Amino acid sequence: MKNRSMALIIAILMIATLLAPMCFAEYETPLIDMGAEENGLLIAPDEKGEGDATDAPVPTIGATDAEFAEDLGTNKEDAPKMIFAPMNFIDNLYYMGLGMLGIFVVIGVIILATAVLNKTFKEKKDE
Amino acid sequence: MEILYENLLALDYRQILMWIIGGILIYLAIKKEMEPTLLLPIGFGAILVNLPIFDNVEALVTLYNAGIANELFPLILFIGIGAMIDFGPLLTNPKLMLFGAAAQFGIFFTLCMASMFFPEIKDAASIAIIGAADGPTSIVVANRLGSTYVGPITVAAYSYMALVPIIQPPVIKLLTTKKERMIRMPYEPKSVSKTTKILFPIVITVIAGLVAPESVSLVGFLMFGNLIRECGVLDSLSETAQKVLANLITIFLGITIATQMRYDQFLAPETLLILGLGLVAFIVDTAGGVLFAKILNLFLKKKINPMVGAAGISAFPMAGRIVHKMGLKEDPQNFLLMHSMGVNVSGQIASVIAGGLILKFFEVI
Repeated sequence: MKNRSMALIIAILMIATLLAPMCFAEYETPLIDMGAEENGLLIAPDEKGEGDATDAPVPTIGATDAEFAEDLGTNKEDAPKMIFAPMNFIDNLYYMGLGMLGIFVVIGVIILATAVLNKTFKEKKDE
Repeated sequence: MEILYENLLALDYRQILMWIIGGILIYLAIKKEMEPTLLLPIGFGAILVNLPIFDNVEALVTLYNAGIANELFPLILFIGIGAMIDFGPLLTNPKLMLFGAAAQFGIFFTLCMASMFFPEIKDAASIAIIGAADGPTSIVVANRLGSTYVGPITVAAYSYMALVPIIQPPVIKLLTTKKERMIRMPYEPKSVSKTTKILFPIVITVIAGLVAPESVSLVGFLMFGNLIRECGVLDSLSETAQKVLANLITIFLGITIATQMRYDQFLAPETLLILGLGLVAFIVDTAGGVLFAKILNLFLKKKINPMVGAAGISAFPMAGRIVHKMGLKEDPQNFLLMHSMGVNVSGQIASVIAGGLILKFFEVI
């Protein structure tokens, strides 16, 4: 019973942590609504003239928002310190998958190497 | 006459608040014995840097530039930590390393969570590394990513490491049944050759360096410390690394981190969010390890006690001991210590690799 109460308290704290910053956060609208298209930032390279494709910055949601603000001419110091952009969670799932895969691959290699070491260098038993 | 009280007039209520926070950290360190080696210097440093008309104590700035800004102190501390770790239980059963890997899930989950609130992905990644449950890794990654939240991240990492005995048990009990917690795992002692113990740190360093070069400094220093311990011919160096070196660097690290705890940097809504996300990271780390063990049990004939998965969090040796205690509580004949400590040390390796991967993904952005 006590542990269920602790678990419930922890769950409430977690939810409060997610909700509380909404009081301070500035909502971020999706890239498309920020006029990025009109500013020429979302035009696909083959739709632009020659030489334009390499010039156009390609902002990534959640990755370089401060830089994106700079591209739009806004001051980086004025960029919000906190935002609430739920879509960033989905966008960064890629890194979650890649990261976990990377860890398991490295650990897998280490396990194999350890097994080889154990097999190769067995401790000599006393006769 | 004014010269006597001008400092008092310059006092800001937020500085007093930081004194209280510093006092709480000192109280937790002394009275509750929660990570006193770090929390006490951090707490005192927080009071020191928040005195009025204090620009910067020159010595602290020098120490910060000499040891934190270039990641020197955390890396040297890793030598001491490596010298303290015995990889023996892990080497007898290398498969336990999988749980160490699974228990790093909280890092990447928190990355996704933090990215919802922080526009800079580097800040989100720095906050996520709190889930590594490893102070030096958190400091190195946060510094290298250029995060402005090094202070709160460090305080969160060390505080939650000390709170592991409170955080983990409810999460473990929520995700497991009594029957699962009573699964016995008899320990079959196997000896590991000295050659294996010597080659292991070298092999790990090479593998980590090839796959995630950004983690070489972290892994390398950790394994160097372990090599000093295991080689058998450097007992005095090993003892120095474990005791004198580790303690010396801890003193400098603790008080120097406090330079990041000035009231104008620390007292912000972002700090509260960072503390909350740190808690999320630790909880999801624990859940990741436990759930991984439960998934494995679906395919294994010889079942694993899922609590052992929770020991994969890198808070060494606390997490291992907690799992062992919980196992004994459920079944006084169930000794999980060797398994849980093996998983715990594997978590140390996995957390460092996770740190390297985070740097690989985001350092060049």
